[in-house]
Amino acid sequence: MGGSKVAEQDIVHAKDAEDAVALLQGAHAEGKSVMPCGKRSRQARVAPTARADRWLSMADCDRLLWLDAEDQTCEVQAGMSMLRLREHLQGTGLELALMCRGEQSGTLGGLFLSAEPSLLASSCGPSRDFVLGGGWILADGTPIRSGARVVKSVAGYDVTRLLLGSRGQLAINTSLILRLRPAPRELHYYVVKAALWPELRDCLPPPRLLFPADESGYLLLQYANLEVKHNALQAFDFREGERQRCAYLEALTTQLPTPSPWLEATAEACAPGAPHFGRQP
Amino acid sequence: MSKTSWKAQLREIVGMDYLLDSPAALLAYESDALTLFRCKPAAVLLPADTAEVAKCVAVLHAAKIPFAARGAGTGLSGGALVAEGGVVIAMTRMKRIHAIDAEQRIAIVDPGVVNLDLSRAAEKFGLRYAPDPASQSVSTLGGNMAENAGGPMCFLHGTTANHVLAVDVVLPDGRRETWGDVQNQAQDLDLRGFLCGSEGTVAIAVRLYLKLVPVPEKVVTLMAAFHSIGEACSAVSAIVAAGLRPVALEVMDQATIQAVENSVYRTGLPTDAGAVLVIEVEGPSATVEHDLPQIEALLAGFELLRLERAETPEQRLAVWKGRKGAGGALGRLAPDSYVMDGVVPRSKLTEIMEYVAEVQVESGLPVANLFHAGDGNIHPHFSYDGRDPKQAAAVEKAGAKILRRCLKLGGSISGEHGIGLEKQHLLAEQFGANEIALMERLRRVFNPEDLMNPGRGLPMGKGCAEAFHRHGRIQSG
Repeated sequence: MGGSKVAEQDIVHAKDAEDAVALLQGAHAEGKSVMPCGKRSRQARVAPTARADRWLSMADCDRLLWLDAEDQTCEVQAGMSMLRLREHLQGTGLELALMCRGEQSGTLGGLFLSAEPSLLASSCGPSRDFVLGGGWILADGTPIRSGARVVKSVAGYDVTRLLLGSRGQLAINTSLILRLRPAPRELHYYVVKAALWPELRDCLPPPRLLFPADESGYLLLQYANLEVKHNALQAFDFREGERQRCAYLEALTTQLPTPSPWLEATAEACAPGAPHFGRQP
Repeated sequence: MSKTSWKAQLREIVGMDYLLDSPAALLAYESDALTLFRCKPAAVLLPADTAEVAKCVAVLHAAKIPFAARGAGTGLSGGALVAEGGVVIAMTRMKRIHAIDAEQRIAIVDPGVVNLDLSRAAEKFGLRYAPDPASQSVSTLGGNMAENAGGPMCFLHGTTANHVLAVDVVLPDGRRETWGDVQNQAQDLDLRGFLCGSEGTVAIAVRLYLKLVPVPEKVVTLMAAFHSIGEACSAVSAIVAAGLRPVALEVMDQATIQAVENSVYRTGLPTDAGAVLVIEVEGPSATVEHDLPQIEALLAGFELLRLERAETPEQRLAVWKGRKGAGGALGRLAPDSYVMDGVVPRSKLTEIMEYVAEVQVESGLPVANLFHAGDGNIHPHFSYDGRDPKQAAAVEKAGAKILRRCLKLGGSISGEHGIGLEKQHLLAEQFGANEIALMERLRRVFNPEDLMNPGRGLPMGKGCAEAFHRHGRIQSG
């Protein structure tokens, strides 16, 4: 079933993490393999070798567990969407500095588990850098916590980094501790001839976002909190900039993660002897 | 395989001069910067390149000899000490900067390159390497990666893990692989990220592909002197809560200020201040000019003893001379130092500092505080005399109490020094049995025979840390 469409009747929806633990323990006892599927918006990113007896969705678990605005961290359940998180963060002056394909429809658990690249990676850092830890369930139904709720921790192995991007083959995500940052006070768009950019790049402050404008040979630059003045730059209408950004994001084809030769051994270490997520033992 | 034959094979690989086994030569490798733990290795290897590292590891693996990679030995958790009869692989001869790709903003370096040397080399391209641990003028990039080192600039730029794009590794059996991707393209398992902070127990980094960042257009450093450390911590909270993003927020308490001013690092800090807060703002001029007045306005809400603005490189250097030299200045106060490393949520800084003061009174030992306040990463610095068993016991007990309080406040037992030998007994208080068992199984995936840096990072084997302990393990209450 890997990579193909998943029918609604094949999906079990967990009410909460405890429910998911019970479901996985049951599947483990029966020798069945399970794959997480969220809202099924990233099926194309499911590992091609994955074979699931059952699909488990955490999409109904979409609560904000806590938000520490002073510390700029929060924990959300895996089913939280980017859209919903933005609503929660309104008025705090904070953001999760990601811009990923499918962020309107998918879950954050799915976004991070499928290693969806962020368009803001070069200015704000890759997606994985925003996850400080979280809650997980291993293939045998064992619940674990990884990382910490502080912005810096080197206690034990960074299990979070290993599990993020594993496309559901090592563990099911139940919650994410996220690092937030101050949201831009204002955004400005500019256009520049693409041919000029390599030369200009070192003379201008780094943009927050850069992408090709509509088939015009121009690049669209987004700056946060900064009005840039340069002869080669032309200010661009904000609404049109946002429209083009959304269109670009939705049409974006992102590269699939490269499978690691260490996956089998790592999956076995996560839950020895268990039918691994989507992988028959 | 006899002892002689493996040594002979290693000598053949690295050359006569680069296998050390005389007692005098080994002395320098019996501890890192945390002198609580000591163990003399059987031999030290100084390989010249990746091929030599791989060959040496293969020989050691075949002979079942434990080994540990080591950089400059500046680690503060006993992470690079090898067990009795083991071999240290010192990476300090591998110090070539192979390439700096200014366009891609990537540096390709050997693991033995000193952190600061990379920034100096990148400067002519208008670039620098952001992570800046206090040891940056000595510590190596390979060692920084093994411990996921941080530093003052990490508040804005993140730790080492955020700057390593890819890494060539030698596995515990001598095989070589590349983990990560310089284009930062996703791989389904982020082994590169997993390796950062794994304390040399997963693989040895033999070549690093590092992200460089542009030298900022403008940098301004503020030095604000407060009546108390509590006020300095409150100012940090106010700055962060206002959504401002300085590059560094560093606090030094009065004991630290006085140690600095009584040392060669003196820089004119106010010795009557309860604490100073060093704030650095960098970026495009427009950003700095926007943020700086806001920070100064927030600081004006406190009863400051002094506020100085350092704008020229010389002025800024003077401020940082005090901060960066503080560790050295404190090291002069007693025969031994114990630099703690714990993390709390930023909002709990005042609380943890009050607790550190309580513990100081209980322990009867001098404590100084200098810390990365922006990250909530504290470093209480105990000065003691390790020759006195009572003082040694008191310092360890005090350290464990502070770390337990960090956990109680929602923090972590290590922000940047790692677990090493020092904190193994506390890891099980941060994570449960399931988490520790998972980490242990993951270690075995890469290091199944536990020959690579055995007994480090995870609480493995009773008595492991005790075997290295200079004073005999003292039960921390």
